Amino acid sequence: MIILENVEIGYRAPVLRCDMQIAPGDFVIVEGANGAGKSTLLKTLAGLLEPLSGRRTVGFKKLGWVPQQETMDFPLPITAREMVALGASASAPFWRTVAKQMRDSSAAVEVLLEPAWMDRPVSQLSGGQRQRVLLARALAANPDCLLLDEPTAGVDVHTQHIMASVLSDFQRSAAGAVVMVSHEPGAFLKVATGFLKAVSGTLEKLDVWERLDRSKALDLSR
Amino acid sequence: MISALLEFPFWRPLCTAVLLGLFLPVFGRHLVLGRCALLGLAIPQLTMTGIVAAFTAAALHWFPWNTIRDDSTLALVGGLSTGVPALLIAGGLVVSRGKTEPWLIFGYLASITSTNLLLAAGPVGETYLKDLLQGRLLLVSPLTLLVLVLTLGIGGAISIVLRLRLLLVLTDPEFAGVAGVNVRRWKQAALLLDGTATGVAVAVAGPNVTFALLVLPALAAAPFAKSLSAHLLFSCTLGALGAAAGFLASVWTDLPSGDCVTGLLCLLFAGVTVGNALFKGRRSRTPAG
Repeated sequence: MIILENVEIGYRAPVLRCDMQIAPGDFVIVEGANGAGKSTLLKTLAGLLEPLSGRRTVGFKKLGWVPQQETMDFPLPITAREMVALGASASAPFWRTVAKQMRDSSAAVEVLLEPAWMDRPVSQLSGGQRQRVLLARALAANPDCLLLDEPTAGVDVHTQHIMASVLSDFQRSAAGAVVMVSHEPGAFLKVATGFLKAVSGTLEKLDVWERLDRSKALDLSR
Repeated sequence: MISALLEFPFWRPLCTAVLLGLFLPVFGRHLVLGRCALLGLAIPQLTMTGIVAAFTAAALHWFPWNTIRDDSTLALVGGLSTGVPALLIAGGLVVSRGKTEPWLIFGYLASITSTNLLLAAGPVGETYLKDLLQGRLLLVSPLTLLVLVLTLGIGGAISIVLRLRLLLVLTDPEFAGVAGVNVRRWKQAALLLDGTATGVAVAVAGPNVTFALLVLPALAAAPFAKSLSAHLLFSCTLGALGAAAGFLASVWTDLPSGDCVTGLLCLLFAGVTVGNALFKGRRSRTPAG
């Protein structure tokens, strides 16, 4: 469980005030305009940023982190397989080889990585393939809570559905929690259990059915 | 042919060059892939200051420096006693502050200045230190070669065994930190390995050769390697071949061995980088289909 109590988050000045709680089995999608503090909230949940005030309590044993693609250094000479093995090395004994790490990785990793491009350099993969690698790397570390920052940015609908299915399995079979920041949560709406919207410096909780109705209305209007 | 090989008088320095070229890129990869190659410049220089300080302390009859009679042992002790703490302090700044360039430039300049001032104030071991600055591979003693073999062998083996965790921490500390890895401790472990190897290498081959072999093979291999394992293989091969060819060129031309090795590695790096840029440019101009 992650609990934020009377927390103000931001780098110097607070951008968001919130009280929230993430429990095992939750799938929370955070929405909001650019600069509303969504990624800052995610970094605070991950422990990469200390709250300016209030209290953050973490009860999960291990957190998984999927960063925004553009923050990653992809010119690094590394294959998709090696990248996932690096992620697995965060939880497995550190002397294990890449092959051993991959043999013991979860079924979700096999779904996300296709053998055709597993041994290609990550720098030569498409945006969607890279996003799948980043998610597979996070899952390979065996977390019980996953934090994803804009995983749908530049990703096609097919890949979004694969990711939604993998995350849904993670949430249901492993009782894992998922917190996802996204501008385009379309494929994930059906698996989400909660929606938060960062508006005017606060987190507004949206009712699930209200959020689904809104998206349905949006689809019909198109 | 065999008798000519057996009569070759420079086997020991040649082996030293190959050993340095083979193993230093293993440690240099930490700096290059961790985007802190400037550490590779600053630390050999700081180690050199430690060596000069050890010579000065011995000349002033300070204990325990005055008990060491052999120049190469004194350099080794001076190098190790400065290289490791220097790298840990610089590494501490890297870990805690993130923005390292100003501090590394400060450390580099302060180190060069204090080396020159120490040498000017009391010119002790001047010939030896001049040789060291030029990369004194010809004068390597059996003891220093043995220490080099042990340090690089053990440190290199540890680096290779721990490579996944070390590279995770150095290339994506955010991911590692969120996943519960103690990033500070692992970075310091990497720096301890790099500092020990650098300390011994500078005492044997001087700061320029050490910096060149730490960083240039790993930088030159990066555009061609498609995987981390290929990068390790290419870096070590380029390092070993460059060091051996540079040393043999120095024997042939009768020029300082360290400068020949460094010069050849610089040429290799420039050739690889320019060649890669031209090749990529030509490929991107080729019409599709």
